[in-house]
Amino acid sequence: MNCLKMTQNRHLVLSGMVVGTFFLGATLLSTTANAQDNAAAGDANLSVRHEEPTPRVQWSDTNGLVVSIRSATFETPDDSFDAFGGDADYTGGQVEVGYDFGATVVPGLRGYLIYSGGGYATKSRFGGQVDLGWRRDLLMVAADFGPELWGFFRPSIRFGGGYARQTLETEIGGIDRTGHDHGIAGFGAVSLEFFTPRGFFNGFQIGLAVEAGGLLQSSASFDEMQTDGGTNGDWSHRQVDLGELSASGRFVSAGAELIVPFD
Amino acid sequence: MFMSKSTRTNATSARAFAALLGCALLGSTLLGCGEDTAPAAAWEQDWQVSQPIVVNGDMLFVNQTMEQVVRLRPTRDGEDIGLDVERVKTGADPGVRAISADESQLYVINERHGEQDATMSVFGLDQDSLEAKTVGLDSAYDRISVDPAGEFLLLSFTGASGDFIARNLNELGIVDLRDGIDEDARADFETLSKRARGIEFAPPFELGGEPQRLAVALSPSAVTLVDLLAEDGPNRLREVPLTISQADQVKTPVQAIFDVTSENTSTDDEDDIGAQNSVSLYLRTDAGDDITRVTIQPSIRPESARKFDISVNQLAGGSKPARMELLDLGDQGTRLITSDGSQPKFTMIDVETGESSTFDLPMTRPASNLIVYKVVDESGAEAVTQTRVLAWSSESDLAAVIRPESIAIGDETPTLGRSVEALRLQARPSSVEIDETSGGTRAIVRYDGLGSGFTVLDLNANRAVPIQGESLGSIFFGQSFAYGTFRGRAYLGIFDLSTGHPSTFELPYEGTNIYVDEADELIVVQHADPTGTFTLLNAVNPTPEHAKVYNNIFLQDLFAQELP
Repeated sequence: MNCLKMTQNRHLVLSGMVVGTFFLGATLLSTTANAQDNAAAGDANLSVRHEEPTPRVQWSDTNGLVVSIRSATFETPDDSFDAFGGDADYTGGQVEVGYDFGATVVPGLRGYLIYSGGGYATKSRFGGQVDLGWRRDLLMVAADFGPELWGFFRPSIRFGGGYARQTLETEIGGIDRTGHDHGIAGFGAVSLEFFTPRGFFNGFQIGLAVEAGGLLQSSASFDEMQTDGGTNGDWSHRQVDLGELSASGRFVSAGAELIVPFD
Repeated sequence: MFMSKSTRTNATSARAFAALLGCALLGSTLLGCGEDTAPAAAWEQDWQVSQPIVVNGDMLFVNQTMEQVVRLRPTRDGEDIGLDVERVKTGADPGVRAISADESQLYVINERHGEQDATMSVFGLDQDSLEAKTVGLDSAYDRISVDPAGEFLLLSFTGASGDFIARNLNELGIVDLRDGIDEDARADFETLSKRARGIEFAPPFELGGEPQRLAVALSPSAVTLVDLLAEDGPNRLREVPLTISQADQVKTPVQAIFDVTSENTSTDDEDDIGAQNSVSLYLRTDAGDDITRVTIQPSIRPESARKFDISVNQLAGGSKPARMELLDLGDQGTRLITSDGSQPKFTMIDVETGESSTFDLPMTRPASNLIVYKVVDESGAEAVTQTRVLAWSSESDLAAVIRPESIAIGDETPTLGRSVEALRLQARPSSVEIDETSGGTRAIVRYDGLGSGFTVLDLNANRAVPIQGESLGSIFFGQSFAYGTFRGRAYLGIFDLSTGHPSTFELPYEGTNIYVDEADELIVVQHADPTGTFTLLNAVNPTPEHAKVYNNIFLQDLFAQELP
């Protein structure tokens, strides 16, 4: 159990480290390239002309559509999630539709509509006495801001928030019950995108995106669990309140994206 | 081409932006290196919750999986029905448990499997909030003997197997409850020469002008008197052999009765110093025909280090006595009554003189049980309280009521109908119990499996009211009504104990246990669900419209709990 948990967390750490390595590498490249630029500029002032340097840093100033499909891993570090097994995180799917407002609002600014869903599969507890399953669906809007480097790399920071629905499924003594909690969530993250240069494909770009950040979410309580299969005659039932789940935690995501600039 | 100033500014901004992002990302990556903790082991363990202990209308459960005591308290405000849930942690691995005689405390021994020492949690039940105090133990005892006076607990071993490293089965733990339990409370322990098979407390009494507390530990061919107030070792434990030699046939005491009545502690003969101020202990053993009397009196030798002088003699107890009871017959003095184990007879013993007589019982099999109760005879000018003894056997559908006050020891066999009266039951009973809620005027006779219903015995009138209930499951007796559930059927039955008339009502699920909170007029039905599903019904109008079903109550706030 602990090994599984460690493995999952190692996956999270490795994902973060990959992102970090890419990012640091890119930062160093950027620094070296800009140093070269500065040196080149100095040389130019000495009236020694070199070949025309390519602009290395750009802020997107065109509108465009961004569609991304990702795999997202969310940590649930709160002990309340021990109920669903030894894993400290789950991996779900994430779909994003974004719009580049570079030409109309601020260069380098994008807006997104994000759906993210996933959770823990049903887990048998207490020798099979209780089965518990949980999932979370997030529907959020977000905005990110960042430059484009060398025409294929875009680091950015992103903030967003929106609606969160958590679903708890239980099977106790052969009776299935389902409960929903409706709440809000917000996140902050750093993102790295690698994409094909403009013109590489005719009219669109494809790329890879990775992101790491933290998610804050309102706690969920499940005090109105509904029995699947209808009511039990005229009896007034008080379903058990299993308590609160605190699903805030870090996350990483990675996936592919399609960018359609409106030049 | 020259780089413009704005381009250089852009480049500098981008580097700063990138460095900021890099630091943030690196920080979040390093955060991921924190140490994980495994989920609590209890998640993977079987769900084990004890049978309920009903105290003052509350229900107490020991949840062994979660290592906690759960108290369910039915509440009612007008038509609004509620069920309060309270949980308190025990120590590790809660094991044997017991309730104090006055039902104000619950004792739970926490075994700590695989460990030598243990603890005992003491829960105060008469407070609004459930709280536990802890007593340290040197061993994980698996038997609690409760002092009816509430001053002591004696802890011992049954000899059953368990998860332990090493233990001394002859150990006897002593918990002094007289001054309450402080933070450093710890049980003393003594070592008996033989393992205690049973323990019996004497009620508080005075001997030699001093208050005394005694208990007796029953072991094969010996008993050990435990002086609970003694400070010194020689007086703390006094072993009394029941055989002359250990080569003799083993006689294991199976029943012990202390007699500390005033008649026993004085004598008219002032010269007879040895007979003064004594208490007696009567022992029935699993072999032989005699009742053993152990007489305890203050030591008559001033130089003796012993607090008590102890003597042993035998009383004729009929033939292989199967049960004995002590009868306080007022002016007639104190007598012992025994039932024979091999034939339907009983023996009356005058404990003052040692004289005894044996009489026939109108039963087909030997009586295996005797129940002593009091009735009020209002036939004369003044109401008179009289003693009765109900003799019954699980092998006979005939029971007998004995009137010991009308029996003269040494006379001929008393006439049936005057001193001994037969009582025919529906079938061979599985149990007969005095119903305390009736003030001792009623006994409940149950039959194997309860499939045949039950019988209410009116002890004042010697009348039996048979109540038939198909597949009766559990039953609870109130003052005027009995409340029962039925196996395989989602119904409850309410039986009028004076007429036997039943009424049935619907339940949401089949009930397994039923209780009545008479103060709140609530019927509480526990269903088979191990996670705790209960239906609370208005006792006056037990219909679905006046009821509430609480599902899986033991899982309340599961996510918020710290599991062991």
